[in-house]
Amino acid sequence: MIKIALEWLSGCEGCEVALLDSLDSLLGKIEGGEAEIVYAPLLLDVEDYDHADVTIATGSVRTIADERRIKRARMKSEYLVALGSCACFGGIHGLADLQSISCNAGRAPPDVRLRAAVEPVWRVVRIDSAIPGCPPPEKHVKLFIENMMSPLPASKGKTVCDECTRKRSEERKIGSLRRDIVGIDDENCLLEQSVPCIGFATSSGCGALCPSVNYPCHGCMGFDERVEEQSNGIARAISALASILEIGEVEDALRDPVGFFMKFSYPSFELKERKRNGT
Amino acid sequence: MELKVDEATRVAGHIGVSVRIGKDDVNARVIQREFRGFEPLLKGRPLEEAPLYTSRICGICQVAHALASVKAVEDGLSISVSHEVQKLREVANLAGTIQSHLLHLFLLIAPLKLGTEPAPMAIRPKLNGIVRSILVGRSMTQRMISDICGRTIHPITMIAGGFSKGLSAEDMSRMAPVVDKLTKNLTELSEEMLPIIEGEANERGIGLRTRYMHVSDSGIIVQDHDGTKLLSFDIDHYGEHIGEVEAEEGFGRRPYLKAFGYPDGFIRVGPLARLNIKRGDRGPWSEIRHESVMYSSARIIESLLASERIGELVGELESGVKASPAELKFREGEGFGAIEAPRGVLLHHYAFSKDGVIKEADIITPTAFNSPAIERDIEKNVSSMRGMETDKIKVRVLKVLRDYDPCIPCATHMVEVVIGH
Repeated sequence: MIKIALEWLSGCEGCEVALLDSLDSLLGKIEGGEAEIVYAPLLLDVEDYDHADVTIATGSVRTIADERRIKRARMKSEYLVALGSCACFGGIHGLADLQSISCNAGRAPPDVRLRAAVEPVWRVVRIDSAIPGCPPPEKHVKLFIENMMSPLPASKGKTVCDECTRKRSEERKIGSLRRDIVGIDDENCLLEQSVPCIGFATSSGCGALCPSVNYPCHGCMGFDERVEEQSNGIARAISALASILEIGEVEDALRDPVGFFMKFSYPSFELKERKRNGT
Repeated sequence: MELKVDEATRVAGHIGVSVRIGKDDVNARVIQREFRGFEPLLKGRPLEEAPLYTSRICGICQVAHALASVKAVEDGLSISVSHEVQKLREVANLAGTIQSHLLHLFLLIAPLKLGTEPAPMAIRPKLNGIVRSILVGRSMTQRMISDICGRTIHPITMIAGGFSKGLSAEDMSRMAPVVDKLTKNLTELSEEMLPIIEGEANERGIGLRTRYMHVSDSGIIVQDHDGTKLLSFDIDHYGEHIGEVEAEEGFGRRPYLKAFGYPDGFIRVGPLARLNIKRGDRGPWSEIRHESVMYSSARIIESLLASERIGELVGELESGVKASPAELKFREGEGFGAIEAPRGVLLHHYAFSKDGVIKEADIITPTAFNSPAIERDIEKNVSSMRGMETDKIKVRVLKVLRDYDPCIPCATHMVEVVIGH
């Protein structure tokens, strides 16, 4: 009998919905006596618990209460998995840290004041495995439940491009980047059709879902399967794009370079550290 | 005496409640313990990416956020969409509403409604057959959303002009039997659940008489508690009619109608408001209902109506819907998008520069609209329970809170935003 805890931090709850979308698999385990949910504020009136074999953490660490919750979860759990891009990389809402936030923090109860910056779970406590994605790919969530919470197979350096069925040319060169997708075809590489797709740098696992519906990859799976290595990943991503672009600098070609490269993982980057330390 | 719940369980997000019970008065506060910051983070982002960002406000009502957002982008750039696109978007929003309503009814509150132990039925070993069939029904609506939006959570295909990928006649034909089965399940569900909820309404005997607000493509309307029409305005004039103050505690703002001032100008939105404004002859809606528990009845009836409506729309779209991305001609301006999200009126407003970069964003969500009403409703309930055991009062406070199905990740917009000056 595996005891499962669901710990949610600051996030949109899409990861919880992703788990609930695989409820049938989970219910099967519960009905079969293989698993038990000991803590899940979304589902149960349980305020505390003694021990969990597996804690699934979603969201990022933004408030003092988030920090307290994830530290408690770490202490009580054998195994802690970060589910979703907020837990793994800090998530899309971390971009708010770029702005000076004039919030009514003074009116927030002391335990939910904002910390200095949004952070991924691994910056605060040790994690045992990570399932990135915004939301995490359905097949990964299902596999994770089916395999009783054991780690997923690694992507081994493969990228979204490796999973994409669109045709690529050997010598990729693009002149400019566009902002709409009028007139693009279903068969050829989006980037080669000047659509700013970042699949070439993004870790595989999603099955190239967005390009498959004519939408460019925005990097929600992260740039390196080791969640702690996003900074190196972005450096590789920028130089890779620069080598494909025929014109000028990467920054000139993109309207919003920070949003393009760090949409889901701004809180993971060292740049952020520099900003915070004021150096 | 002060009754305090630091973090309510079985509510979407982190929310606390504090009720001070004085000699003559009761003062309730719902405290939003979560901050998202989507309004500041949208600054500097490309306008066309707004739906991608804003769907991440909420993983439960993500379809509605993406829709309100894409409508604001289209409004700002004067992009019109075809009837087919409008219909397919309606299907997506209705499916999103059903899945949200069913998630609330069967995963978050069903045990209290059915008087069983306070553990959700869904994760108890032996499931009631109807609950199981409803969970299956919820999966069906998620599948429909996935077909239209590219996946179940955080739509991919919703872009200015329509959809990045079309649906074939074959895709549409797969939906028809799904909807028939869903409608049948929901009909059974309503027969079983509506009398139970009516019983709970009678037992509590509390109804908060409020104004109700609703949005459609022809604008926003506000109706008084007795059904009198009070206001109607276009969404691009919302700033003239809707004001906001910061919550006394926690990350949140409290919208109100300027015509009635704060705090008197509070309103209610969502399933109860929608059925009170567009009453039909369905179930208990032959008259206006004010009891918060009737939100649950409204969710059931709305789910059934939505399922029937999806059936009609799927029939009308049987030959499929083509991909229809719009050409983006950027210019300086503003855009407004509003939609009835599962929990009620949702407003997105962006101001952007001549090269289509967002300068300011204002997003008002249903839970923000409902927050003052939740506080007044808790006060009214607690006032009627003087002398009863604290535990009983606490259970009621949480029941009233959950009746509204508050969604906290959504409700936390709080940054001073000035647009159009």
